[in-house]
Amino acid sequence: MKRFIDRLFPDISPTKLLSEHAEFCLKAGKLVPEILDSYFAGKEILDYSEKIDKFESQADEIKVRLREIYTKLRWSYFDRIDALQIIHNQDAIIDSVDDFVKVLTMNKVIDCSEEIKEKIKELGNFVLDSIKLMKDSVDELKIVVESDFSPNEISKEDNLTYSVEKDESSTDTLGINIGKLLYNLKNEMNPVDIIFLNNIVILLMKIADRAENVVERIRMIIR
Amino acid sequence: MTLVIVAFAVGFGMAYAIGANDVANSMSTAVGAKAITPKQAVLIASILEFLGAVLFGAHVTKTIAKGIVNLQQIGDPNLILIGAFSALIASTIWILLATFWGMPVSTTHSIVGGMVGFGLAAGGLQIINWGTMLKIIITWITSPLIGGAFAFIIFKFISWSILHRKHPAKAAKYVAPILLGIAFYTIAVLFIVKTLKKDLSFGNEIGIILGIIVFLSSYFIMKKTKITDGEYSVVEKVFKNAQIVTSCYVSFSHGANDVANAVGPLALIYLILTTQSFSGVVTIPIYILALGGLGISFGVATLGHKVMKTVGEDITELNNSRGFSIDFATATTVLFASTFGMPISTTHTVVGAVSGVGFARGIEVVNVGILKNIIISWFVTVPFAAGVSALLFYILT
Repeated sequence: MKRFIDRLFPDISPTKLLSEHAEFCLKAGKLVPEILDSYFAGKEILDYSEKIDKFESQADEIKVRLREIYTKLRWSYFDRIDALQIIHNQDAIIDSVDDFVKVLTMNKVIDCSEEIKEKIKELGNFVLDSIKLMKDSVDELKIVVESDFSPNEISKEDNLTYSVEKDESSTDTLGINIGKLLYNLKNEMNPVDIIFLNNIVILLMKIADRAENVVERIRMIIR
Repeated sequence: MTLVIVAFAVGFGMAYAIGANDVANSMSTAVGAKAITPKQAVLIASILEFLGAVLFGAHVTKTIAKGIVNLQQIGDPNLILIGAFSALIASTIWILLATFWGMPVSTTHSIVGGMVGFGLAAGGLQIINWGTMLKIIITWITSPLIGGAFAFIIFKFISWSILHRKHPAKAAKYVAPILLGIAFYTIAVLFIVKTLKKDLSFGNEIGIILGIIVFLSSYFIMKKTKITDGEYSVVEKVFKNAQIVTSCYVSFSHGANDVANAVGPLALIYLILTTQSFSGVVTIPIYILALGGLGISFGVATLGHKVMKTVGEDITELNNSRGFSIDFATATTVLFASTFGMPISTTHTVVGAVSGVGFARGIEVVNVGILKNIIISWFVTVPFAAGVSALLFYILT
C-alpha cells in the first residue's frame, strides 16, 4: 500500500534539482575570472578544464534525475518543457565555460595591451555576476513555488530578472567595446591573436546570454 | 466455541493486516515531511487507530454487517454465518494475494466485494441491498473528489491567509491554530451527534469549547517558533507542528472507517454464534470494535514500524503546509463518511486530496497516472473478492 502513496511524488523537488544544478554553473562561473588571471599571467590553465569536466558530469547526473521525474510524473504546474529548457540552458553555461578554457589553451597571445587584458578580465567578472544572479533567480523560483506564487515573491523575482537583463546588456556593451578595441589594433597586433581574443570575448558573452535565457524562462513560468 | 475463536482469529488477523499496511496511508505525509519520526508515527497511530475504531467504528461496521446483504431474506442463521465467514476469508485471501503481488488494493473494497459475493450466492440479485450498494459506490467515486475539493479549498485558504501575506510567519501562527481548532470542533460534534446520539446544539457547545481550547493551546505553542531562516521556513515549521495533530486526525479517522473491514462480518458471526439466531437487528458490541482496534494497533506496533521507516526514507520532500492540507482534508472526509456509515478507501481519499493540492498549484509534480490504479482497484478487487466469497459459500454449503 505504501508504494501507492509513494508513487504520487518524486523523491526530490524539481526546483531543488534546478537549484543544485545551478550551483555547479556557479562553481564553473567562479573559475572564469581565475582562469583569465592565470591565462594573462602566462600560467597553465588546463587543470581548470578537468575541474569543469567534473562539474559537468555531476551536473549531468542531476539533469538525468530531473528528466526521470518528468518522464515518470505526468502532471505538473511547471510545463516540463520549461523545466527542461532551464536545465538545458544551465547545462550550456557549464559547457560554454569548458569551451572557453579549451579554446584559451589553444593559443598564447603575445602582444596584448594591458587595457585589453583588463577589459577582458572585467568582462569575466560581469559573466560571473550574471551567473550569480541566475543562481539567485533559480533559488528565488523555489521560494516563489513555496509561497504558492505570492505576489511579494514574484515581485522579488521580477527585480532579479531586471538585474540580470541589465547585467547582460552591460556585458554585451563591454564585449562590443572590446571587439572594437581589438579591431582598432589590426595594424599593431597579430591578426590571429585579434580574432582569437575576439572569439574569447564572444564565448564570454554567450555564457552571460545563457544565464539570461534561464532567467527569462523562469519569468515565463511565474507569469 | 471453536467457531467463535476461529472467527475472532480471522477478524483479528484482518485487522492486523490493515494496521500493518495502512498505517503508511495515515502517517506517510507526516513522516515524509519529517514532522514526526517513524517511531513516533507508530506510537501515535497505535493509540489513535484504536480510539477511532472504538469511538466511531460502529457506523461503518453496521453497514458492512447488515447494510449490503438483506439478511432477513436469507433467514437461516447458518447460511448467514457461512456467508460472513466466506466474505471475511475471501477478503483476506485477496488482500494477501494483492500484498504478495504488490498491488495497491483497498481493504474496504475487498470486504464489500466479499459481502456482495456471499449475498449473490445465497439469494441472487434480489438479496443485495442495491440502494445501500449504490450509496457505497457513489461514495467511492465522490470521496476522492470531495477529499480533493476540500484539500484544494484548505490549501487555497492557507495560501491566501498565510503564504500571500506580507508576513507569512506571523500569519501562520494565527491561522494554523484556527485550523486545528476546527479539526477538534469537527471531531467533537460528529462524536456527540453521530456516536452519542445527542442533539446538534449540545454537540456545537462542546465542539466550540474544545475548538477554543485547542486553538489557544496550539497558538501559545506555535507563538514560540522563532524566525531564523526566512519567513517561509517558519511557516513550514509551524505546519510541521500542526501536522503532528493532523496525522493523529488521519489515524483516528482511518481507525473509525477501516475497523469495519475486519469486524463487520465478525460482528455478524459472533451474534449468530452466541444467540443461535438472527433477529435482523445488529448491534455492534464495543468489545468487537475494541478487538478490531487492538488488531489494527497491534499490526501498526509490530509491522508498522518497518513500513513507516521505508516511507520516511523514500517519500518525497512534501512541504508541511501541503502535507497539512492533504491530511486535514483526508481525515475530515473519512470521518464524515464514517459517521454516515459509508465504507470508503482512505488511500483513495489521500490520492484525491493530493490531486486537490496539485490542482491548487501546491505541489510541483504529481503522478496523476496513479489515478488509474483507483479505477483498477474498483474493477478488480470487488469482482475478485465477490467471486471467491461466492465460491467459498458454495463449497461450505
